[in-house]
Amino acid sequence: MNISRSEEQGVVILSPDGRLDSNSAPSLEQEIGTISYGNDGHHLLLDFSKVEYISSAGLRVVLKTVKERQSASKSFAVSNMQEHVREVFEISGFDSYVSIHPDKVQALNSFT
Amino acid sequence: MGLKRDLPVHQRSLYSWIFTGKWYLQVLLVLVILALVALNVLPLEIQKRIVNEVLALGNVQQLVVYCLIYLLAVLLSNLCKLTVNGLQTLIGQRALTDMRKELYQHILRLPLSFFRKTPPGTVVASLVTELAASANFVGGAVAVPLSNILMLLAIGGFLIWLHPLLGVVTLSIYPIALLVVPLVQRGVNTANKKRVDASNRMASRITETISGISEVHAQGSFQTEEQSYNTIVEKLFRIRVVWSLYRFGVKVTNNLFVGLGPVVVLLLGGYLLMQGETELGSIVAFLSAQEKLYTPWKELIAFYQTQQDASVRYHKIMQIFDGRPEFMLIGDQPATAPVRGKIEIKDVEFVTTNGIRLLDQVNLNLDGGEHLALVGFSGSGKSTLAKCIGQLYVHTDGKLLLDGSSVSEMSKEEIVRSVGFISQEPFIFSGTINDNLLYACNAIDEFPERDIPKISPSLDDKIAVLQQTGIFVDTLRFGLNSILDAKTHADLEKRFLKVRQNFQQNFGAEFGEHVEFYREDAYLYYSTIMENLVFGSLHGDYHLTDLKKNKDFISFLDTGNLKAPLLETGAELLLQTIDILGRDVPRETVFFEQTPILPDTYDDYLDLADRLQGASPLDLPKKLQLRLLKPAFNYIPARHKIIDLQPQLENLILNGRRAFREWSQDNSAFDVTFYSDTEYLRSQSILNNIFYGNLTSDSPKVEDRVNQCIVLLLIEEDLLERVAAIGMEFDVGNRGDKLSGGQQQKLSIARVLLKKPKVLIMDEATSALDNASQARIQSLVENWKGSTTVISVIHRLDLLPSFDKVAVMKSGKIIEFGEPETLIANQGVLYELIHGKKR
Amino acid sequence: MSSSTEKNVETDKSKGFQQDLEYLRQNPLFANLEFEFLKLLVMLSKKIELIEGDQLLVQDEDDGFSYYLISGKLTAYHSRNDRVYTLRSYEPGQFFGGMGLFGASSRLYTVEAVETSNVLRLHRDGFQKAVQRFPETMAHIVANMTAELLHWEKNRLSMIDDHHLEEGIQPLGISLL
Repeated sequence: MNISRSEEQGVVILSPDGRLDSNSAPSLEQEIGTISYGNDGHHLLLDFSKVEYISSAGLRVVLKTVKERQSASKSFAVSNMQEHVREVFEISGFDSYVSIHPDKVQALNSFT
Repeated sequence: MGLKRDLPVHQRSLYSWIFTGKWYLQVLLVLVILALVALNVLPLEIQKRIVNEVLALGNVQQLVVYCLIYLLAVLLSNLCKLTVNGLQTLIGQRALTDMRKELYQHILRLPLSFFRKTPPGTVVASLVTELAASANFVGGAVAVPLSNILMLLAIGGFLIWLHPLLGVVTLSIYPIALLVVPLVQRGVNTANKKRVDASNRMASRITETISGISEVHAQGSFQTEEQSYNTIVEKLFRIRVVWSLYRFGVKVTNNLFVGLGPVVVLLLGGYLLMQGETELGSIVAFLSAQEKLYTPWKELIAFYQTQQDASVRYHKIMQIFDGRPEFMLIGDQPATAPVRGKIEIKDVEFVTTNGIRLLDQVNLNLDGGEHLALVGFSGSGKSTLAKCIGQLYVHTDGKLLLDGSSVSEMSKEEIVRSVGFISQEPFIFSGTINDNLLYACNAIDEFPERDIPKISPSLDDKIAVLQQTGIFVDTLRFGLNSILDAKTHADLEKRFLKVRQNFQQNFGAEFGEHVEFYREDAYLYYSTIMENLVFGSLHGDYHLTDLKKNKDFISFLDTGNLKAPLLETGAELLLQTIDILGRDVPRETVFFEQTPILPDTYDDYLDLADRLQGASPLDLPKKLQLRLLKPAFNYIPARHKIIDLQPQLENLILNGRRAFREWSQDNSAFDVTFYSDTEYLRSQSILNNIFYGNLTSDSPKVEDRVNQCIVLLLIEEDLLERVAAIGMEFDVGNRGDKLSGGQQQKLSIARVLLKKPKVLIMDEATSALDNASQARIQSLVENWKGSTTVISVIHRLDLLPSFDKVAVMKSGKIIEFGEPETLIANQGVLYELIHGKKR
Repeated sequence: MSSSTEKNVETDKSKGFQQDLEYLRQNPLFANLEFEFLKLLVMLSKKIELIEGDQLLVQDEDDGFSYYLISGKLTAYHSRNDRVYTLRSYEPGQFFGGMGLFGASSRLYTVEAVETSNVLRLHRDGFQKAVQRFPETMAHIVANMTAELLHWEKNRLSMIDDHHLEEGIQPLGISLL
């Protein structure tokens, strides 16, 4: 799975392409691990527009990221989820811990 | 037999089946027959010798020897007969099986238009009943004529050798019979043809009425249907009587002629004897031979009838299924996956055999990855066009190309590899969700070995389509509500126990009031009486249901003063149910939700209730008592509102629980593990194991919240996908009747999505779903713009903006085509369809 | 045939059942219907306990149930453009949602529990199966429904004064009967 990385308004944007399952989740975890969330770190935005499917392995990575950044100075959000992926977040109650936005613009605004 | 045959099955003659299969069986058969013939002629000679030589000479020893040989001949001949019958059956049944297989194969591939004309009842009757006659014929086709003709020749020859004149005269009867019998047989054949037609009509009528039984009930048209059926049945009765009379007529005619035989022998033979031109021994041999002639002759006539019957039926069947598939199953070269999914439709026409023009000069071009909406009024041809693109119909004129290849000439294999077709009517097969999900992929993987890898979707692939179509949550629920199979999933028990712990820790306080925990000292209103009594799971292959019939357990109940109150409870449940539902209630699950009595056993329980009139349950015989106990054992006070749980009974059961514990410890027959919060409860569902109790609330909010917590916990323990897999093992019932209509439709869509087609054709695939589900699938499909070509017949015009192009159809023609926004701006037909006619 | 006032001794065996029967009887849609039919409806009805915020009917969705409020309090509202317009509230003893029994249709309003409440609900599938069993009842039910609609409309009319009547009659909420 490809994870493209870009930066906008000081926010690091990761865009995984394809499926977030037990094979690809570790690489996402690794990539996220390179972005620090301390005072000199960055806000993190996961652009899910190309994510077709997320299994519990992927969800655990998201959960871990939420926990790490909960009390940190840099926060975390997800945007552009496809409808059925969004539903997975709803049924697991993740949508109440994870900041979810319909598009990139709204997500970036939420960091300020 | 392979797929390639010289002749399609419906054009093969009946006789061609005789020599298919194992030819050496036929050879063996012939050999045994020859032996049989010899063994039948031998006793005749012996008879003659006994009478002429032995009796006259008074040689007892010789008599005994001859009789022994006679006996031996009889024994061996019967053994041979047995062998012959065995071989005949083997050959005949083999032929029948092959016929059934090949005919079915042929039928399945016939064009869809065939199935509109031919009722399923006819197909069933043909495959199940009518072909069987052909089997009988084929089995005996060599054996019977050969053995009997040889027999006749042998015996006839023997007779002539004995006394030429007498022999010839005796035998002359038969040729005359040969002339008369076929005349009567003609009557049989005519009647038989009528019978086949009438039988088929009856089968079709029944199938039709039963498939449409809801309409019959809705309109109350029972008498109309009965009258129509009765007429057919009466007609069949008359035809069958006539047919049978004709058949007996043949037998009687035959017997009449044959009966003349002995008369001739006695008359002529007696005269010749008196004239001294023959011996008594010969007369005896003649009379005996007459008997022996009768059997083969009778069998030949019977065989003749069988042959005629089989021929009539066989030809009738092959006539019905006379048709050719419109496509090849497999192409000559391996199918190449389409690269673009580009569709070109040039001057396509579809004219039915009745001359109705369903498609009229249709022209359309779609680039790979484009999404087209087909709209129009009913009967405009949009569904027909969709079906032509999917190779379900073959257009009668014009060109329909997929990536440059003509669709009507592509093999089925090529089409299904690249095109996914979803119809409006879901067809769910009996089996599990998994079976149904894999249906389309398995069909492709069944094609012969190619260099293309098999599809074999992974668990993640399947879960993805379940999520996409919106039945993932349902599947999870099925999984959570199932009881874990200890044999295949023992490793999961420990892990679910961990989930239980986590649930208690994190959510125990939040849901405490909504869960009825398995407390040893409390009555469980959300569990059955049996579960309350046993308060544990049985080990090995035993289940709680086995206890209900176990003698020791019943006597335990007796000594514990539980049997009588349970019988009373059972009686109460039964009588209340009958009182409220009535005797004629439809035997459907929905009516029986609040009673532990099941709809399919209701009739037995009605009988039981009659027996209870004026009698006490304790007076019933043991077997009926067991039956009466069953609803009591299954009674759940919180669910079965039909009676109230009496406090006395509650206490009795609680006491019984303690007593049972002691009893089972002494009784080594039952290995019971009692409920404990550190043990996995094998007899309870996964969900109840996580709760360590039963959920009591119906509040949708509470249920949603609980589901969220459970899913979260499953994700944390990496069990979500396992539970989904367990849920996929849910048996959907006959034709999927354990699923709701919406679930069935979503599953039908999921199975096609799973094979990731390059071209997706949806023929009003979502119209039966609720708005939210329709929108979900629409937005899913939108994501595939550019990668998958989509052709969608839609009814809901508010979905139009998400399509690249729209084609408006009317009377088989495309009257408007273009981008939705452009057409609407032009205020043409599409605009009218959306907004209604201009005032 | 039994009259609607007949009581069978057997049904006293379940207080819950008797109670549910009484509730159903009070529904104007089911007035003067055969006792046997009502008993069947009870067997097809289910009591649900709701907590505050539980939604029984949701705007634009098709739940397919009819409801009777046993205890608690509910509110009905219409949403448009992110704004919520309260239509009315429901008190114990009141019925709503009956139209959902006759055919598939999306609701125009959302009905939500304001406090812990108990309702008795009946699903369309069960209702239609019961009607198949007793086909004569449908005519009565339709007559009852018509009477209710008329009654409702009459009330509405009487509440509008002459001045407002001139501006146009705007009946609302009729689909919740």
